[in-house]
Amino acid sequence: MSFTKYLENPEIYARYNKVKPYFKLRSSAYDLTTRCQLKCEGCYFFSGESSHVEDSTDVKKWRHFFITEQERGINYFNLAGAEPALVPDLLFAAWNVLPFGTIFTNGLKLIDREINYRIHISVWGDEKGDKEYRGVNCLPKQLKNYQDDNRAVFVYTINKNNIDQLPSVAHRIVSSGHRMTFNFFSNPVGEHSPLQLDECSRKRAYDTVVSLIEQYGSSILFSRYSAEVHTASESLYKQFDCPCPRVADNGKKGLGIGQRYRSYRADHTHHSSSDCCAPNTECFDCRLYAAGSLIVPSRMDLHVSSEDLFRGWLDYLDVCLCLYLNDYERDIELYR
Amino acid sequence: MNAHKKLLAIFNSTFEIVHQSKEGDVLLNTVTLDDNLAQKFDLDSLDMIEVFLRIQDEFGVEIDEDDYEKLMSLNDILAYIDACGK
Ligand code: SF4
Ligand code: SF4
Repeated sequence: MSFTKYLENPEIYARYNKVKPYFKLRSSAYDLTTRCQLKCEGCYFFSGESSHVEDSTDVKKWRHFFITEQERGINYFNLAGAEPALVPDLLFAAWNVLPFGTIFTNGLKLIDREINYRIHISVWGDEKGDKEYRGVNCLPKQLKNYQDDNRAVFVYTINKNNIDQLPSVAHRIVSSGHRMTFNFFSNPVGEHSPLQLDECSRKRAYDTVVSLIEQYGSSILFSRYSAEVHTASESLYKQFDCPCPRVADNGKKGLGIGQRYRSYRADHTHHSSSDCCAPNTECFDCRLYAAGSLIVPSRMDLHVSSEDLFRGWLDYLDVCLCLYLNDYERDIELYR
Repeated sequence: MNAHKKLLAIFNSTFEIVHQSKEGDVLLNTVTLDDNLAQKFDLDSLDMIEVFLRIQDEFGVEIDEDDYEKLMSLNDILAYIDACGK
């Protein structure tokens, strides 16, 4: 069997045509500020050097900067932290330049509803877990701020110790009418975090995630294939390599993302040695959802050895697009 | 169909999906053997991977991922297929 043969199947052909126009999405990442109300355990932002720069606060400069980025070919903004909700003027500056983007927030401060970007709200555990890792139980406030807000996707970061808390948190999020996805804690560079997933916790994470997909259906923005690749014994990097300039610098330049993707700090600087969606993460443990969104879709060529694998890849892309685009609706899974 | 024509047909199939218009056909008539195809057709990395996968199926060759970056023009691709003995 081969790629062209798979496309002869009408179901696969239709799905491929559905996702294909989005091959043209060209994203980059932007830290808007080094400030945050929280100090979470294992926070990638504060464990890296991006937190040491001086914030650029001039809105006009930011607007000009975003226009320059658009001229560079970028048509999708990933706006992150530390906490972007603390700089609403900069969010508007981005929104007024490009209509597509995602804001990665802790959800404690509502982002103006006029800004129609996807909003990814980080969740670290239940009442006990959130207090333990973040110092505050954030979920009640997050749910209240984003009630009936279709932009919101709740992102539960699974670590070695919070898997048992996931079902009750998922129930709370989904029964409030929200959608959720999963992130997988990955070791920050130079640390041996106690939150790092091991073989046993990866297996438990897989089982829990798959049972939530079965229980809550389309409210869970994750697929069974995503669950497999994010909890595999090998990191995403080992399974698929990575197209980001941070590793492409080591001789693997690659097409597309390797030449274009940048991860800007809050002072508008970037370095190719840290141009990836999680610059302070150890590649050999990288299982982050944002990394997966860059890595897995870019490797269609590694998903054509069987029809089922190709179906899994299409599911991954379909879920990804729904994660990052407000008006995109995902379909039923094709993976068997 | 000779290899050159087959390649153009592959690019055409890719465009029908990408643009769903006749634009691909129009552009296709103007392509030279040395044009950088990704630039000429504004193809992204996944578009190019689709083209490579279709070439593999059509010509029965294996394209190594380390070679992707070298295959930028019709001439590059024709030479590659030739070197694979097809
Ligand atoms: S909310 Fe985000 S940026 Fe702030 S400390 Fe926690 S993980 Fe870091
Ligand atoms: S941390 Fe992940 S996304 Fe970043 S370069 Fe390494 S493998 Fe790629």
